[in-house]
This record gives sequence, C-alpha cells and structure tokens, in this order.
Amino acid sequence: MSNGKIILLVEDDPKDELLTLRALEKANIVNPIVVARDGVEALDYLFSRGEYAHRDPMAMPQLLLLDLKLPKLNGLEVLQALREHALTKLLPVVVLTSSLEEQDLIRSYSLGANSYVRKPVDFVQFVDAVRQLGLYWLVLNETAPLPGEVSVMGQGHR
Amino acid sequence: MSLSGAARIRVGIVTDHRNAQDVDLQAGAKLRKAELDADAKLRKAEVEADAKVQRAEGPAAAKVQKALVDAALTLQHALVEADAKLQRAEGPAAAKVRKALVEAALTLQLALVEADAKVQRAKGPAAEKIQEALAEATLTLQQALVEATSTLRKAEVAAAEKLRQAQQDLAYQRDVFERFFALSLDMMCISSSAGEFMRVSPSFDALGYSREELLSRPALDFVHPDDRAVTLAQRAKLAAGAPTVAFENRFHCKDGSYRWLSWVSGPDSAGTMYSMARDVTEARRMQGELAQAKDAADVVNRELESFSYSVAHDLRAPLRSIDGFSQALLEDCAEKLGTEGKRYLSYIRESAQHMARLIDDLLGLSKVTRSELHFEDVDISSLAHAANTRIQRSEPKRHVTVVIEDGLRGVGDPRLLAVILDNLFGNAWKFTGKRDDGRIEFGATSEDGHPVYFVRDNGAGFDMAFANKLFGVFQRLHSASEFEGTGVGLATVQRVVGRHGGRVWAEGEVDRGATFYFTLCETAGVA
Repeated sequence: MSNGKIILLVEDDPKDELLTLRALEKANIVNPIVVARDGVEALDYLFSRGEYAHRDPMAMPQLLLLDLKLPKLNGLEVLQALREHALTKLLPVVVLTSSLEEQDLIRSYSLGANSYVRKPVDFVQFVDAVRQLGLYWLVLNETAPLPGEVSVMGQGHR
Repeated sequence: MSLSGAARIRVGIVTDHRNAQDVDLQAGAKLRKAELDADAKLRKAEVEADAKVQRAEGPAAAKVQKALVDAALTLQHALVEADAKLQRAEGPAAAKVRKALVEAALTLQLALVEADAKVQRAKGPAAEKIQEALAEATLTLQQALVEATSTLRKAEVAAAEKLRQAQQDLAYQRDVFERFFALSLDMMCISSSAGEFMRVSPSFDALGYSREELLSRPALDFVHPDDRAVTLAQRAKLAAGAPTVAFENRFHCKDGSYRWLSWVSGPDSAGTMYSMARDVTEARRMQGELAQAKDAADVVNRELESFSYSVAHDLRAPLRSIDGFSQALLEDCAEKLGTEGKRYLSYIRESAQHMARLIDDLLGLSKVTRSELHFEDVDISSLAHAANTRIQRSEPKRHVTVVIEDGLRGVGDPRLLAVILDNLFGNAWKFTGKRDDGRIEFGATSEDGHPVYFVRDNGAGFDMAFANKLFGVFQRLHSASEFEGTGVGLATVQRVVGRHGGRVWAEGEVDRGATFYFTLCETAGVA
C-alpha cells in the first residue's frame, strides 16, 4: 500500500514513534515516513524552513499524523498555523493522540482537523486502526490539489 | 267683640219697650212685633257673633296645632339624629342630642307660650276647647319628652360602652405596636419628610448611639459619605411614592465602624416615612466569603481540569508502550520466550489494558463531577434502549432477554442520564454472563408520587451485607477472575444520580440477581 507519497508523523515520544512506525509497517503501509519531533519542526518541514530550508515546498506530504501533546508548539497550534497558510490549508490532517477529552475533540475539529483517532493502548487494536487510516487516507481519499497544481490540472498535463 | 254687640242690641230693645208703655197702650201690638223683631235680631247677632268667634277660633287653633306639630317634628328629628349619631358611637353625639333635646324643649315651650297668648287673645268659648287641646298636647309632649330622655339615657350608656370598647381596642393595638416596636430585631424608625428621625426602635441601640443622639441630627449625617448621594436619590424616589425595597447603605456606628443596612420604607400621605432596616453586614461579609470560596473552587476546578487533561494524555502513553512492546516481543522473539514467557507477557498486556480502562473510568467519573448540567425532559426509556443496543453490539453472540418499559420520562441531563443507564445495563449484562437464560429488565415503580426507575437482572447478584460497599470507588464485590471491572461504574452512577438530586440503591441476592433503583430530582437545589 504505497504511492510513494510522504506521510508526516509528528510525535515527540520516541517509544510512541517506534510503535507507530511498527504499526504502519504491520498494516502494510510502506510510504516514506518523515518524523517531526515537535510542533516547530513540523511547521519547518511543511514550510521548508530551518533544517528543511532546501526542501521543495511544493512536495507536500499526502497525510499528516499529528499528536496533540508536543513540545514548543502543541498539535492544535500546528493545526491552526497550517490551516492559515494557503499551501497547507487543505492538507489532510489526522489527529492521532491519547486523549478523548471533549475539549481536544472540539478544538481539533474547529481548527480544521480531518479526522481524530485515539491511539488504543492495546497494540493489536492500534495496528487495526492504523490499517484503516492508511486505507482511507492513502487509498480511498482523493486529496485536493495544491494551489499551484490547479492550472496544471486544468491544462490536462498531469 | 261680638258679645259686646249683642249687649248693645239688648239695651236698645229695653229702651224701646219703656218708650212704648209711656207713649201709647195701643201700640201694644207694635211693641210685641218690635219685641219679636228685636229678639230675632238678637238671635241673629248671637249667631253672627258665634260665627265670628268660630272664625276667630279657627286660625288661632290651627296656629297652635302647627306650632305643636312643628315642635314635635323638631323633637323627633333631633331624636332620630341623636340616635344615628349614637349608633356611630361618637362621643360628642350625646352632647349634641342633649343640645337638640334642649332646643326642642325650648321650641316647644315657645310654641306653648305663643299658643297661650293666642288663646288669651281669642277668649270666649273657643278658649276652653283650645285649653283642653293644649293640655292634651302638653301631656303628649311631656310623655314624649320622658320617653326621649329615657332613650337618650340608654343611648348615652350604649355610646359610653362603645367608646370604652373602642378605647380598649385602640389601647390594645397601641400596646401590640409598642411591643413589636420594642422587640423588633430589625431597626424601625419614623422620620420626617425632611429626613429627621422622629422615633427609633430600641434595636437602633446596636449602632451605639442613644436615642437622643439619633433624634438630634439629620439621619443623613449617619450615612457613609460615599452612600449619601444614593440615599438622597432613594429618598426622592420614596417621596415620589415609590416604596423602597432592599436599598442598602452604610450607617455610621458610635465606635467609628460602619454597618450595612438594608432598608424597606414607605411614606404616608403627609410625607412621614416609616422604615425598617436590617443589618446585612454579616450577610454581605458571608456573600463576599462565598464569592471568594467560589473563586477558589473555580481555581481548584480548573486545576482538576488540567490534571484530568494531563492524566488523559500522559498516563496512557506509557501503557501503550508496555502493551505495544510486549506485543512486539511476542511477535518478534516468540521462540526465545517459551510458553511461560509468552504467558507472562500476556499478563503484562492484560494489566496495561486494565489500567487503561481504569484511567478511562476515573476520567469519566471526574467528568461526571465537573461537567455542567443541562436539564431537560428526557425519554429515559429510549436511553435504556440505546444502552441496550450498545451492549448487545459488544457481544452479539450472547443471548439475553431484555425487557424495557417504554414511555418512561424524567428531568435531567440526557448525556449524564445515559451514563447511568450505560453503567447499569453494562453491569446487568456482565453479571448475567454466566447464565444461558439471562434477563435484564428496565422499568419504574412509584414512591410518594416520584418515579423510581430500576434495572433488574437475574445474574450473579450480591450479598446484601455488602450493599453499602457497592457505590464506593474501586469497591468490588466480585473478584477479577469472576467478573472483570474497575469498580468505578457504580460510583459514577451514584455521582450522576446525586447531581440530579436523586438517590440510588440496590437489592440483591447471591446468584439470584440484583435490582438497582434510582430516582431523579427529589430535592431542590441540585448542584
């Protein structure tokens, strides 16, 4: 299950990162995965800033898996920042976090999250959840074109 | 006058007779004729005189009669008036009656004197008749006077009695007023339209001033300088006819402190103000403390909120690691672990998952406590159906007979009421798990007009000796190997029911099932 498109995983806990990567692998998702370990790094990657300054800004990831509790900028702040930017406004964002606190749910959706998934403690269930996520967001779902791509599509060059 | 006329005629006749004897005997016939003529004349004169007397007698008698009637009428009138006044029990009435009577008697006397004079003037035979009539009238009047006097005396006595009664009533009312005035804990005062105390109740002593001191200065002098403007404004409103209710200002005490007084005032038509003041200094202080306590509670609540938030996020992450890496070990290093090692790892995973459930349940309990309630009319039967559907879906292969009484409603927060039913149905489902003929029933009975909802099962039940432990957090009456659980569910149910002002209790018997009852909104002032 891969179309070569990047998945950006924003996760600060290395153990959680390892488990998520393992779950993705178990779920047969073989897309390249970029990991950002805090909110600032996530935005740097998306907007080609800092250590990602040389990255092609038009190479947007296919999916953003976003934890909420993050150092520096938390997940909600990241979400808010990228929804304000034309380039990332329509980027599919799945909040992948521990809590089911009402305030998190409401604020995530209010800020434009596309999906909200709570990481189950039971790893078997987690793998199952990741499999379904991958199937939906990487295979079934059609992503909106980037701002620059619209005219290209209109000319039928794609 | 007519009598003297007749006499003259008689003298005339006698003279004629003598002349006749002296002059001519033959004139005897003539004389006789003359005599007869004279006699006729006399008779005629007499009749005429009588008629004249009658004519004279008529008007005089009528006048006397009229005077008498007038006098009697006046008397009657005076008596009626006196009676009416006495009826109204007015003190001065007696005096008026007396005066009226005296006047009536005077009028009568006058009438009598006048009548007498008229009779005197009338003379003749009519006089006797008139005298008689007068005597009779006088007697009647005398009798009337006696009667009137007696009536007056009775009326006077009755009036005096009524006056005494009225005075007694007044004295009683005054006494009642004085007693209350003296007893009142609230400060009572009467003040002039200019704002000066005219009278203050002893409760004003609490301010430390003597009554003389209070009465010697304008009331405004005692009001806190910052409150004078609003006090004057309030007084103006009062003067305009709007009663003062719960107006508060600060009053100076002799010791230099200020007390908060809450006023109720009303003016009378002359502008005199009647006021009551209650010392609300303590109440205001408590209100302030309450507000502070509420602020403190809000702070604690916010802390609790962030604590819960942190628990929700941070406590679960390590559990995911424990479970996830245990699973990784099971998958990646299965051969090295051996049977025993794999079993231990499965225990680790079970524990991690159990702890995750515990955390979730505790967060749920805390949420139930923290969340704001939104009351509405709720179809509780449909909540029961929803709870049943959820639980059936978790184990679709199990067969349990579920009977839900429809149309049961109640007032509460629908989301929290759903928590009650989810928990009670969940329990019933769990504890009927070892039976093939499991049965769950939802319904309601009535107690003192309040519905008592219940969820009944025929499952494992419990020993009533431990009924008091059912609703405690982490309290379990079954071992984890028998029935798994966190021991938080019923505590949550109790919390929800409590927040709805209701009660929850249970009846059960080991191996014969349990019934959980709950009520809603039994008490006012639900928190």
